[in-house]
Amino acid sequence: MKLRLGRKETGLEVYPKQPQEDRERLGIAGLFVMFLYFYLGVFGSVHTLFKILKITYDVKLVSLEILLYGIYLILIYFTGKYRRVAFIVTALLYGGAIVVNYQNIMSLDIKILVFLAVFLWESILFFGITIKGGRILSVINFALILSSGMMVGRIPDFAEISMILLYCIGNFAMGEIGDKKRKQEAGIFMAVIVVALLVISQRFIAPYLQPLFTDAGKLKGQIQSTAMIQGLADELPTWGEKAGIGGVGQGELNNVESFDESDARIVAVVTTKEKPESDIYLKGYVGSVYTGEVWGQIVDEDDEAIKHEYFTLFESMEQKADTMKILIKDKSERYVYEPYYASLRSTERDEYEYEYYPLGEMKQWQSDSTVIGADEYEEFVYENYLDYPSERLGRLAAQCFANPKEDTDAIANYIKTTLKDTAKYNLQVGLFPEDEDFTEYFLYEKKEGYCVHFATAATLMFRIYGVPARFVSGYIVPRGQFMADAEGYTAKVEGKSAHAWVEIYQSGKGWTPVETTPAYAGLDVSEEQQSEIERDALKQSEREIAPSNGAVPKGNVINGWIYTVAVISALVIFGVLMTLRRRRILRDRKRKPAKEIFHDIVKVLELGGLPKAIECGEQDFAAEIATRFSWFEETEIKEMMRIVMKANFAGEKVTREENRYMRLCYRDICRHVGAALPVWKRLLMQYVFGYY
Amino acid sequence: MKNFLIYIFIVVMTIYIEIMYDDSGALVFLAFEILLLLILTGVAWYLKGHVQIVLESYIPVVQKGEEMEVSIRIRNSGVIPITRLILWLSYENEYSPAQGTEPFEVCVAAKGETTITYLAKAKYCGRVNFFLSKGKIFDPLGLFGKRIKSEAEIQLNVLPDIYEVPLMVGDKGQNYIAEAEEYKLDRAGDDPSEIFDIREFREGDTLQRVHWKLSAKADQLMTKEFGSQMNCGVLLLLDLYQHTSTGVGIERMDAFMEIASSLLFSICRAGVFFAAAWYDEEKRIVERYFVKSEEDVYVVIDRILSSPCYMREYNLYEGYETEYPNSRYDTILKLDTNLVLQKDRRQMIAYTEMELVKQIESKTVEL
Repeated sequence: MKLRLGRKETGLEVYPKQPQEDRERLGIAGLFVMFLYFYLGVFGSVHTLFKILKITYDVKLVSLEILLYGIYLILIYFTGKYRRVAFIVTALLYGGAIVVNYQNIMSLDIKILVFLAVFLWESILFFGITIKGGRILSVINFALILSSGMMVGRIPDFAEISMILLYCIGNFAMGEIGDKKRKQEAGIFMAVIVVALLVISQRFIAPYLQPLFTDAGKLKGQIQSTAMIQGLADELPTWGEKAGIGGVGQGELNNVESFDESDARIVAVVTTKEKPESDIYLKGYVGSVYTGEVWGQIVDEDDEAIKHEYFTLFESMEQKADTMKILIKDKSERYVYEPYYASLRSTERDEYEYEYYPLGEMKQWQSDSTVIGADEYEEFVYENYLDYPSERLGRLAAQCFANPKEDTDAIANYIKTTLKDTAKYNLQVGLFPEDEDFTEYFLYEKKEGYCVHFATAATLMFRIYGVPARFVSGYIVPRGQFMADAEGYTAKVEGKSAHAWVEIYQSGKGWTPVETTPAYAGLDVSEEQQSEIERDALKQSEREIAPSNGAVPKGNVINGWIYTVAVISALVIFGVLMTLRRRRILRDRKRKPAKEIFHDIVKVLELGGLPKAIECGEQDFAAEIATRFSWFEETEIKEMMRIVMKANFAGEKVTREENRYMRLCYRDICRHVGAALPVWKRLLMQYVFGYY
Repeated sequence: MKNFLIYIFIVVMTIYIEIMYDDSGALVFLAFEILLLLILTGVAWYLKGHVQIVLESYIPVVQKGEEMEVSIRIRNSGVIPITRLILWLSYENEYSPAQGTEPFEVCVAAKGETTITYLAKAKYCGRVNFFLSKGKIFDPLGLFGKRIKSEAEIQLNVLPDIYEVPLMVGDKGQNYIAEAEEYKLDRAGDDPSEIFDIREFREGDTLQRVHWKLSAKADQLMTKEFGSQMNCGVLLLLDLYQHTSTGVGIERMDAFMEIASSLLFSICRAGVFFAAAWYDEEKRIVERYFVKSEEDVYVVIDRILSSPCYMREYNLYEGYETEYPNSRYDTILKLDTNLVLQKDRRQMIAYTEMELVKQIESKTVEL
């Protein structure tokens, strides 16, 4: 029989001349550049993700591990062989750890888990930079870290992204090139280009782009108020705005690791007729009962009534009350925010109109007059707002008792000074141990914290001194944020403006706010001790202490964890499912008869370059295959053909040996064809099509 | 396009991060992305301007089934290495409308050169063209590619297999004297229009043939020997007309060329001086070539291979008569693409593609 080609065949068989094996090794310069890309990538990725997920680890030890294992891997690569050794070593380490701890795998020390995770991660990234088609790994790595960061509202900083980016660039530049000399040239060339571009971008281009983003805050608000984001927030409450940043919580204490100023949600819009003379405190949550974990609430039925009575008293002042409109923009907000010394005049949907007296004015105000019901309310106040858990706050109580003060001002000054001298303002304070009292750990151990810590400590100290006090969280709107417009002066309140402070009860005035957080420098909200410029400067210094200003709830980090673990798990599950599917296909193939195996053989050969249009007879097919695939013996093909012919036409049963022979041939063909294919095609062939 | 869309996505994401997250440093990366696009595009343009591609083959003629070697020499005259260049090597046999393509990727050092060699085996004879149909050069990250055009082309002739055709050569075929412009190289004759040799005068030579001018110079009598006109009694017409719009197919043309080559070779081997003629569609003339040696056989094959087949009807007999009006031949053979061999306008042998070699070697051709 004759091999027949279709009329449209060229009759030409064209194939590359066997290329000379690339025995060249990567030069020292190339190796160094590759190592640099790789090391920076792993270093950046590991530290960034651990930081995002708040994993406690020994930075020096992990850095050393990355370095040593990186050198080991790169040396393996330099030898040109044993690339898989890296994975074997990792697998052995994992296996070893599991065997050693088989009784309780969950009891594995976090250090060991971190150590093993770094090993695995580094191996994968190493694999990514050394194989053709491995660039996808660098993209996944980048996307995983960035999206994990976005989930917790923390974008890696410039240096971190630069390192991960360099790995990606290196991977793209070097990973795809087979020729080692070109690999080296490309790697060096791109390293120079990228470093130069980053420097130029930072020094010269970015400042020019800055003006384009001056109104970014407005845009941010618009994006956040889009139906899609809102809908997402409603559907996924724990992943939406609650997983977002900042905002006013429900008096939680130890669920917050840090403040983050990246929560730019527009929570509310405040409009006043006159420009406020001091910062506006918008009261939201009031905490009355300290448990060590949360500031709980009590039923205070007369609170509103007494407030109203006091406001009536204030009206006797010469100073006229100002008006303030508060439009709640963020539907997810739990509270109706109100200013101090205020009275609600009207409500329309989400807009609340108040009459209020500025804090500065009220500082000076003194009255001997009393209001209706004040006595009964004071009794209630002294009964409920002086409690503190003495058994847990022994040290703090002892300190207060050791420093007796005569009046409220002296007590307030002492508390502010003590807090300022004892603890440092730090937004990234982390979680406190559960077996320690929150306040005492803050003051005597950690000595670092932010507004929640300072306000809590101050509230308890006031109570120890016998001054009724309670914890308040809400928003602070700096005076400078009010901009003139048609309605008067308007300020947008962002999520990152969330704040906590203390309220003390003063006879004749009612509940009065006291600022005890050193970073809010005035220390006494009723005193406008600092000019606006000084306040701004202070806020700037605050940001230098830590780059954020809004709270990241504990649940946020957990969400980050969940997300990262979910993505990794999805990848792993996908891999496992594909492996199981492949196993099933392979198992089914074992049961296939000879002619079906032959059918699969043809499919594999087609994948290896055999034209689909080929029609052939027994003899010419064997010759054609032998010509096209030099590793294939013609005799083997002929034997296969014989078995297939026998199965198809002779009506004889194919023996078990013959079937086995077909399977062996099939496996051999798959291996040879697979070896000649690019990695991604080979993986496709193995895991998607399940050919072998 | 795909990479460009990915790039746009990354830029949008960077802008989003810059808007949504304060102090993220995304602005620097936005600037970096813009610069990177400019630089990489610039580099791709630069590389495009500094790449030269040449197709080469050291052996332009091969026998059917033999390997032919085609080299693609890529030179980078720039100072930036080419890390990714994808070229599509296309090939075709002129007897078939089909085209094959082999894509390959290559990298070239700065100021360097790389040669990629392909081997090709032709199943059928014919003129085989190799050319670069497409090319794309990429920046060092492989993100942005620029199309490159290359005029590089090379043509190789794949010769048909030649078999011995049994011939029955009559006297007329051997000695027929007809108009011919060819003279015997080994024998003098009486045709005064061609001088075969000039030699010293010998006794018996006629004085009419003395070369007086040369004799005066040489100081002795020199005489001219006239040429002997070769006898050309056979004309082999090769009709490349294809009666179907899609062509008769590469297999048929391969068979046609095998029969034609075998006839040319066998007639020549039989010592018959003959002419081969065919219509060249490109030049619009009937080409004629006198075959007196094996070398001539290969020249004719080469020239036929380079003459395209034609679809419009053309009467080769009449065309030949018009082109060469005074030519007279004892025997006129004509082979057409239906594989029919005519002798003096009558069908003598009808070949088929099946077992062609057997037919060629067994069917006797009368001259």
